[in-house]
Amino acid sequence: MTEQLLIGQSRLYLFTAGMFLLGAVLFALLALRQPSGPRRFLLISTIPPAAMAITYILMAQDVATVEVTAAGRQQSVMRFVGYTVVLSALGLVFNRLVSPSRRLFAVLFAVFVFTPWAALASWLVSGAAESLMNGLVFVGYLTGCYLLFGPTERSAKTVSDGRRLLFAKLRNLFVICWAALIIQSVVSEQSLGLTNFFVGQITVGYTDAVLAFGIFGLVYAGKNALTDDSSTESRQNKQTDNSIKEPTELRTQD
Amino acid sequence: MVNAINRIRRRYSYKISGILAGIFLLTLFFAVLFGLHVSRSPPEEAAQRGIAAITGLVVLMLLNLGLAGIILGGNVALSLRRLSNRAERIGAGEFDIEISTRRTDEIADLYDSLRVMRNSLDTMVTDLDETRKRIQEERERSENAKENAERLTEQVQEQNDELLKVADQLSSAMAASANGDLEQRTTVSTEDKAMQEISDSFNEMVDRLSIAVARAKTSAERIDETSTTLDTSSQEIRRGSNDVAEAIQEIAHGADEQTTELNDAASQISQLSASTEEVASTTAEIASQSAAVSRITAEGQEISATTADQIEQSVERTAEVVETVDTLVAEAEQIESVIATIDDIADQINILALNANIEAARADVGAGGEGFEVVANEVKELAEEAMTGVEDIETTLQHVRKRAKETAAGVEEVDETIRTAASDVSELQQRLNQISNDIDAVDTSIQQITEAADEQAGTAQELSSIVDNVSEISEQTSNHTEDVSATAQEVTASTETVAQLARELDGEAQELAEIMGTFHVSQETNPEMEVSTDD
Repeated sequence: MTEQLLIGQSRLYLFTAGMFLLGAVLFALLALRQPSGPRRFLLISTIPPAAMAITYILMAQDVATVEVTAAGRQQSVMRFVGYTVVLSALGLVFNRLVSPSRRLFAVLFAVFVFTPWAALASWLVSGAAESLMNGLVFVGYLTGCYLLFGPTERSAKTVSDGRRLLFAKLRNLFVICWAALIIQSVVSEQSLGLTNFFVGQITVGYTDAVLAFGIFGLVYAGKNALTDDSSTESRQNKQTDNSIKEPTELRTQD
Repeated sequence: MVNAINRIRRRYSYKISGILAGIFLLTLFFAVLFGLHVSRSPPEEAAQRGIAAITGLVVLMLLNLGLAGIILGGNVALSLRRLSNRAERIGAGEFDIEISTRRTDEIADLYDSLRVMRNSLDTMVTDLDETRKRIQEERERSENAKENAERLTEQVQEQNDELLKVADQLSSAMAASANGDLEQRTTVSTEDKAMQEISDSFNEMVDRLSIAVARAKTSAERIDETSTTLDTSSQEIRRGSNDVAEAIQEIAHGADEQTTELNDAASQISQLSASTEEVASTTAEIASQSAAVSRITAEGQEISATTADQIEQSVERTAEVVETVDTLVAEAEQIESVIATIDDIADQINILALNANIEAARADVGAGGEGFEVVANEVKELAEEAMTGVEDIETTLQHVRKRAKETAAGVEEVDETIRTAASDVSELQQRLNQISNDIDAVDTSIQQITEAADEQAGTAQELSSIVDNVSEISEQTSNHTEDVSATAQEVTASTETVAQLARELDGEAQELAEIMGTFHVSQETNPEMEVSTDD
């Protein structure tokens, strides 16, 4: 089957890994040149591409494979380990950005970690169990969306506008990519079988790249908001302020 | 503001167009890639790959549309257009329009800025309206005040004419008073209360002035008398001040001499202190040397004690040697007696050998006579050898006895010498003990001298300090005395000034009496009458 594809499985994995590795190195070098405040955020944001690079290298080596019921092929568990690391790093960025309560952060982190492993479980079982696991994946996604747009958004109102805006951008990116990954998991050859390995890997790799590179790109673009660690007044209080902003401030917000 | 919004709108338009173009190109790239994937598939897999490619493209399009939705979801262009319209309405004077958005990005900041600007403009316009109203009210008030002022001016003119008449009367009376006629009074009758009060006050003033002039005359006479007395007193004070100044000059001179002598005394005390410190230093050196001598004496005592012990041991050893020599002589004498015994035996053996020879000669007749003679000869030779050995021993013993006697005599001489040395050493120890005691006494005396010298140095320093203080006080006294002298001279000068002033006062009093004489005061005016100053 491999020789009939445009590129072999291992080469495709290694090509994707090389892309992530190159990005991770560039991002790390870029992060180390920043001041100490944004540097921590940027270094955390370097974790997703680095984790995905390692993941794809290990997948190319067929490390920790399990047999998937629908496709009957060997699937590496390392992809889900990589997603767990990526989502943990993103959760850490969210936590440092808007400082939600410990309880909220713990629930959000649990939902983040639950969904990829539930997706893997749906690949390993069949019939009603598979449908149940797919349903749990969607429930986890919806729960995560509720937590991000509800309680976490309320916590974001207590921090500066720059941090709040950065949180909103990261959240929207993550929600879109998360949904794309879940859809790809459902339509993949391991589940509904609507795609094959080549198309599935291309689309998943693209989604992974958008997510990993997008996180770093958004954090880097909003690094000026990260230099202010203190929480500023809320937007509601700011709206009642009759003072006129300086022109320079308006320009920087443009 | 509108220009800034238009600029942002253009920038966002370019940005959105670029993103849409990028998404389109990216999707096109994936479509080509998947198309190649399908085209290279075997016929039996073509349908499956086609479905996979379409599904993949759909997923990617959904993802890209979602990303575009993130960017366009905020509807930036629409928000900016609405914001621009609201800015224009605010510019037209509509300050009550709603300016709010659900966005939380830069557009929301623009909304905030526009709201702040609208509020500021509204406040400024409101303030301008209020200011314009206040100015209108102030203008009306000023016109009313102008009319009131014109009416008041007419009233004032009428009152002024009446006041001029009263003022003429007052002026005449005041001119008479100024010429010394204090008997003039005004008889003004006017409705103006102030002018009436002025007239009354003038009359009252002239009354009081009459009393004051009368009292001034009396006071001038008294001042004349007092100034004369003051002149006399000031002359006496001047003479007294001169005496005081001379006395103070003498005191100052004495204080200067005292200061000089105290400085000399301080110098001598300093020299005494230095000498005392030198004595203390010398005494310390003597004490150090005395301690060294004491240490050497103690060492001598230890050496002499050791020598005495050694001499004692030598005497004992000498006695033992004498005793040994005596024993040796006695034993030599015993050997001599033994030798005498051996000598007798040898003589008897010799006699016996002689007898044996004789007997051998008798026995020549027999066969055994020759053997007997040989034995006798051998015994004789043996006896002779024994006698020779005894003689040698005796000679040796005599030498031994002689040496022993000589040794005993020598030892006795050594013993006598050692005993003499022991006696000398004992005497030396006594002398060293005496020296040590004397040095201890000297140390005690030196210590006492050192303490006395230190105490004397301290006393000299205290004395020097006291003399310095006294000298300083003397200098201060001298300075104060000079100050007092200067003050006395100033007092003298002041006294002269007082005398001069008294004379001038006398002249002034006379002149005052003359001036007071120009005033015509009613004879009924009593100078002792109290002048009220309540007014």
